[in-house]
Amino acid sequence: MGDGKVAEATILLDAVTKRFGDYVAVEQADFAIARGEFFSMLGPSGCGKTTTLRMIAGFETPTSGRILLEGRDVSDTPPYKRDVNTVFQNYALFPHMSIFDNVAFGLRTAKVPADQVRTRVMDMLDVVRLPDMADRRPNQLSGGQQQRIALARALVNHPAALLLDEPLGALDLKLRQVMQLELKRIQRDVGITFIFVTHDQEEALTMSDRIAVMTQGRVDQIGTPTEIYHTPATPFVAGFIGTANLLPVTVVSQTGDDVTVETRLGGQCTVSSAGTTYAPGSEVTLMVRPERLVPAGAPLHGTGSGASIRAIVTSMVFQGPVVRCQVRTEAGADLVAHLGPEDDPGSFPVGSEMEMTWSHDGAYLVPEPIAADEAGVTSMEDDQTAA
Amino acid sequence: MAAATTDDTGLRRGRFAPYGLLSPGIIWLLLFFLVPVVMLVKASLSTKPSRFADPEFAWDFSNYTSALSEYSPEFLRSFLYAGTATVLAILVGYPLAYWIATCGGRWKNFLIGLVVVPFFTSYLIRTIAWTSILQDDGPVTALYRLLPWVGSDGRILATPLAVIGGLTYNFISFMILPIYVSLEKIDFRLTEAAADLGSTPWRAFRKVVLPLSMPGVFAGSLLVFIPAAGDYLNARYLGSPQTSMIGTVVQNKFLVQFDYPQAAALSLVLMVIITAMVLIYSRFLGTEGLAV
Repeated sequence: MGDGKVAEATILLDAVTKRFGDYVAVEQADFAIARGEFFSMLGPSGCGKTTTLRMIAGFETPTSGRILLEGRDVSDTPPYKRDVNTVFQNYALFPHMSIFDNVAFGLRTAKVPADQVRTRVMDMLDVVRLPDMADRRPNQLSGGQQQRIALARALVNHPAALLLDEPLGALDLKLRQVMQLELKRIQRDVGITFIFVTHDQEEALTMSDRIAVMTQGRVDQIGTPTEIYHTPATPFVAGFIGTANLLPVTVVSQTGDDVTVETRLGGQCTVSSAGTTYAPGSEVTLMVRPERLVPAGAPLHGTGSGASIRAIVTSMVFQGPVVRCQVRTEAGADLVAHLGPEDDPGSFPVGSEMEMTWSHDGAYLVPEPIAADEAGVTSMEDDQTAA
Repeated sequence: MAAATTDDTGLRRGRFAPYGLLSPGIIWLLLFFLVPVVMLVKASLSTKPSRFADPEFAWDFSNYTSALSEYSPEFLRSFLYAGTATVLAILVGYPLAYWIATCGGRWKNFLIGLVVVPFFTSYLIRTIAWTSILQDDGPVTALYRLLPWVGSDGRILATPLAVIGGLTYNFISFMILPIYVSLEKIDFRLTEAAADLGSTPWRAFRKVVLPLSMPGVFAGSLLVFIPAAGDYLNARYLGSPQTSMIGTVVQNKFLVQFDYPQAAALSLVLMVIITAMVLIYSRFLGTEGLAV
């Protein structure tokens, strides 16, 4: 990592590993978070995202590696000496204090003069749009309001970085969507680095400048929401962000930007290499997003002709803007296509045969293999419905 | 029509149900609190010409004036000893309760059980046991005499130190338990939040944990101070005539001298003063602390 990047970074994790006994919670986390960035750590529960956040906050000490805050090594600095503030999952507002005293807590700890405390607290209550709540107690506020106060209590200290630990988890869907936009607005207004931990991929996509997708203590990929959605680095990332149809394929040959791959049933198709060089014979994963998969003959979503695959329709579910069409290929993989009105879903009854096709740029090669039994559609939404 | 009648009785039953539930408590209070207090007031205003005569009700307020004029040293001593014992119980009991609540882990219930273990032995026996522990030729006193400001004839038994120590020892469980309960309820992620906002562990304790545990300290103080102020066993067995408390006097008046009017007046004065002190204390600590 170059020195210039280090200077730019608010936070730098240098090969950070955290073990609890034999359990590796975080393994070799190695990334930088730029000043003013909205950075999300996304992953299923137990992936190490919260542990990483707690190490940045100072509640946990790395087993090895260093954490740099504004260029200074803070790996062993206690939380009260770090210039970061946290919005806790359960808000952790002080129940015995008024809202004003809650928000003023950090400033008073830092011995800021009383008149300045008053103006800064009231200004911050304006920012979170709750100026009339100063005299209330936390238990007199709704969940969404407590959430805003927790945010105000942290932001009023002008920290180098604000850490948010699944702060929207306890809110209902509508309020969560409002707060997502609110958080983004506040982050733009105050210009502070936000580090946001969530298991909700939609939340991460909505708000983040960059996302680190984590699983089993490792960072699988760091990138912008677009990069992570369109060019996932691993099959896990592909399935975790949105819905993905994944097929195990073998590289046959590569000519310039075009990679020819072969499916398990012997069908071949050509996919863009996206700048990667593949050795013939290597096992990789072909990803097609449901919105890129269309019935043969229908207009392709994308450019260039791609490939097609024959399948039997197993279900057709109307979901409002799209019709979710599930098919089973001859190899036994379940694929999902999102059909729009132009695809005329009515003409494919369940049980009928259907040829699915995608454009040249509608597919993407994930440079890692998947097992044959993992082939087919994967998405967090399915997992959540099943759970 | 029949349905309407059933509804009506149901409604009536519902309306009287709360009183039904309350009545055992109310009857209990009437029989064992209000009636004795009325009898006590009546006795305190009576005269008793001789030791074995029956008291006669006479609106005699002299019992009160003499109670205050003759026994104010005992009153003062009672409140001083009970107050000191309460403070000592907080100083010893709070850290213990805090340690059990935060570091007890799966041993919590066992450790709290240990706090209650002394209750399995009679209060009287435990107090008398201390007389032999603290006796003048015992090892505790021998150690005590090594202190630079204590002479070779220094003693613990029959001193205020023994009485206050006995009071603290006998009532400290009543301090530990409510403090433990209030500490146990605190979400210790709040101390993380305080640390996150720049507070040292000590400041986080002062600003967050201590205020949130005040209801326990308040309840514990009442449970220690009130019985300690009226106690006579500790003063009697561990103290001397110079350390007698108001409880000692009342016990002596009632059971030895049979001077019921004077004893009743002393009891009532003690009750009124304690009530006043509790009210001032609760005002001082703030009722808001109790609401949390």
